[in-house]
Amino acid sequence: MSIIEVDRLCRDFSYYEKAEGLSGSFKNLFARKTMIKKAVSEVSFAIDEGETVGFLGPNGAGKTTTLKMLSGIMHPSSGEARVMGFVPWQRRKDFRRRISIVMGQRSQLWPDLPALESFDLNRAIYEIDRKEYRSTLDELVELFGIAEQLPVQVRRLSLGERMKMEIVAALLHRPRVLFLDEPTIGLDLISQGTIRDLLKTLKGRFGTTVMLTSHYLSDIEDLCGRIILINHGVVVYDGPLSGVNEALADRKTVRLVFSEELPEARLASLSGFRSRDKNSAVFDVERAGVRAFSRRVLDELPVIDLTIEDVPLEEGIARLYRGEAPRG
Amino acid sequence: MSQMEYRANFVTGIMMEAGYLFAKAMYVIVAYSAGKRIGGFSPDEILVFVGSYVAITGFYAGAFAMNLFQLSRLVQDGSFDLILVKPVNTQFYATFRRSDMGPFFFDTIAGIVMVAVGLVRSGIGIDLTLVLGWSFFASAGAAVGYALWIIPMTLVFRIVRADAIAGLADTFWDFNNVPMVVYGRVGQAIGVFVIPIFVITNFPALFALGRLPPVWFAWGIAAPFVFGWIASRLWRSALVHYASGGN
Amino acid sequence: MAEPGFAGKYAKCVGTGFRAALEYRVNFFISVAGAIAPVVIQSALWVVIYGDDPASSFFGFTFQQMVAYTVIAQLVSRLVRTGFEYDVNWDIKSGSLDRYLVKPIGYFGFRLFSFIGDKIVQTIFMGVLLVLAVWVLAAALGFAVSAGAVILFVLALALAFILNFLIFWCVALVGFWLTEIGYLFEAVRIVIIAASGGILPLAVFGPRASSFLSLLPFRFTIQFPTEILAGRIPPSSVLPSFALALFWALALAALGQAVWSRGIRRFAAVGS
Repeated sequence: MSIIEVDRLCRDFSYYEKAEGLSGSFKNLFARKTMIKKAVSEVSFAIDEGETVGFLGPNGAGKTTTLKMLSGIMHPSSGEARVMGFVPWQRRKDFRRRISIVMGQRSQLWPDLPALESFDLNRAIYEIDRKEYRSTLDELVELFGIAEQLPVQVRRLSLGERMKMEIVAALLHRPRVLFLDEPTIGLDLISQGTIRDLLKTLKGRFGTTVMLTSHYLSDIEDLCGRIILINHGVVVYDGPLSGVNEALADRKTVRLVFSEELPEARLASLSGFRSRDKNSAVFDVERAGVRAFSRRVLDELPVIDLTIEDVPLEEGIARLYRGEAPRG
Repeated sequence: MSQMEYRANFVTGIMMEAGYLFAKAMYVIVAYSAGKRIGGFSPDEILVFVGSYVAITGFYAGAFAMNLFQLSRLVQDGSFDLILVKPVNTQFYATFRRSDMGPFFFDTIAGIVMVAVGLVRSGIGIDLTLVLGWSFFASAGAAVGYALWIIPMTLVFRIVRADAIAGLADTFWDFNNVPMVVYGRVGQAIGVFVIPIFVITNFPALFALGRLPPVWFAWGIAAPFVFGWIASRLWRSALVHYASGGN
Repeated sequence: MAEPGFAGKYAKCVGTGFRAALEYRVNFFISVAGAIAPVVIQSALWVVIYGDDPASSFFGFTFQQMVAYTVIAQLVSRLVRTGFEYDVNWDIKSGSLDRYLVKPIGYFGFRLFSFIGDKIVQTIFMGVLLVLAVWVLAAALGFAVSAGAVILFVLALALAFILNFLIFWCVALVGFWLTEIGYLFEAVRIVIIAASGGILPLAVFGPRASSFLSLLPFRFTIQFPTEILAGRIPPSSVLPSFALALFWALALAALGQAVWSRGIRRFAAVGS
């Protein structure tokens, strides 16, 4: 049985339409139109224990909302889910003791106190046995290399150091399920890399099931064996990262370089034309038609270089966002 | 959950309470200046009422007021989410997270002094029974006050700018600045049994003055339990509608 | 040296303050609803104090005058209330004051005109409430308001806005030196409101204290407009009172300017 099971989860939000300008503001005083946004729409998936799953999608896609429902923060509008057998939004104490959530934009640490104090508070809150707490803490401190920052006020730490502390605080009680919401957002590239490395090591060490949301592809590439792509509240893809390309493998990108600059109209007359830059042009071609396309192009145009590539991963994902249906 | 803040905050907290005490004391000034008995109570006896009010305000201001006002911000920026996932009673954790010991001690001491002065000037002897009884009804009153506060605060989960609600409810707290007898029989009945705001500070004062009738005596014991239960249920059901602010 | 589009810039601030105020109408309504408690408490108190003899006089007020004062002062006090000092303090503390200094718009002007925009909306609502209040007072207590009083009231109110803004502008500027002053604003506000006659009329403090307090600028933010509307200011005192209010406005503006230049220098040197 999977450790996380989600069945047709939905979450709607109602909001008020704001009309433009001053007269609009006056109208709003008396009658406001209520709009419904379907943030999460019939989302279903299952995650096994020990998996690390990436939840990828643009802003507003519904990934954070889904995470909030699975951690019990929000009630769904409809649908069911079970995490470790618990219904998350019933918020049983036993459930809360076995999960953890780290949100990139918010902190659970007291800003004016050293991180160590917040850790100690968590020890009490999660009723961690003192010896276990000590050994877990020591292990994490060594792993993260934060021994020196422990007695420093959290607000004086750099963003990267703070995020490390957040993750440590979230792991002290050895949760079985860890939710990470945009953990590397706002961090510089080096810190992002460090956090990623740490999470990779943790994966092996603690066997925690991890659900990670991000809109940085590199987070996902590094850490997750499996990704779930979500856009406009709907799951667009669920499977291994490598599968994304296969899903789009019916198309190839053909890059051409010419000996002279060609008029756009001429290039546009060929189907699949995408873009042009001085002497070069890019085309989208169906895999089956690549050969025919190449022959035609070599015949008709002054081509000096021709490259046939797979659609790049970023591009592939962007297309899935836009709703181009994956094959198969 | 109590955390001592900086010394600076401690001092400014006390200064704020001093400012508020000044505003509250104005009603005592009026009582003495008017020079006549109000609702059957002498100015000294009114001092006992206002003193009880000040003392219990200390519990409110020190123990949980700051958390109530911050609750709105926590909900808005999404930090409340992180509180929701912790395996502790969310209501108590959110409302007692931080305490301000400065206002608590200042108000409690100032209030007790006012009560003592009022009693002495009224010629009422202060014995152990009086102290215990006053303390008991003051604590029970504080509990009722806490429960009554939770009820409007549950709106914070539905309305974005709910810090204004805290501000509004705050003004109703001031109804206890004068003895409840001022509000007439109907007013007293509503304020004792329906929305038991008067129970909070009037009962300990009435007990100390030896004028707490048996029905009210019993109600003073029962009210904290009744309203504590109501508050807790409302909080729980409000959380079901929580839509989580921020992104 | 006229800045191009000066009027347009500040007009925009008024417009933005106006729109923001409409958005936060819930807040404003609730703050007005906060007037209910003191009015009820004090009215109940006056009923008991004046008891069976409403014509008797306490602190120079008859029962009718006292209740009228209570109601009107509570409404006026909420109307003139400021809140921008927290924003100013935040701008100083966080250093984001920089943002405004690099813009071709005076920070003072920005704050002042946003405040005015805010107040225009609130005045409209409060105007309705005041009319209602006066009507109820007239019906219940025979309280009467003359047309002349209303005109003078509007003038006094305009001055009250400016004065209250200037007072709290000066208070806010202390934030250049004391960064944690935000926490003190509430205490300062309470005392200023008390000194303005916003809790109880200044007469309650006793004859000597209240004459002294009447010379200070605070009285002109709440007590003076209220008493003008209630017709309690004798005609001979009207002009001298306005003159004194004007004097304070100029004095506070000058003080504010002096403190601002000092403060800005410090801000630029020290940062946040």
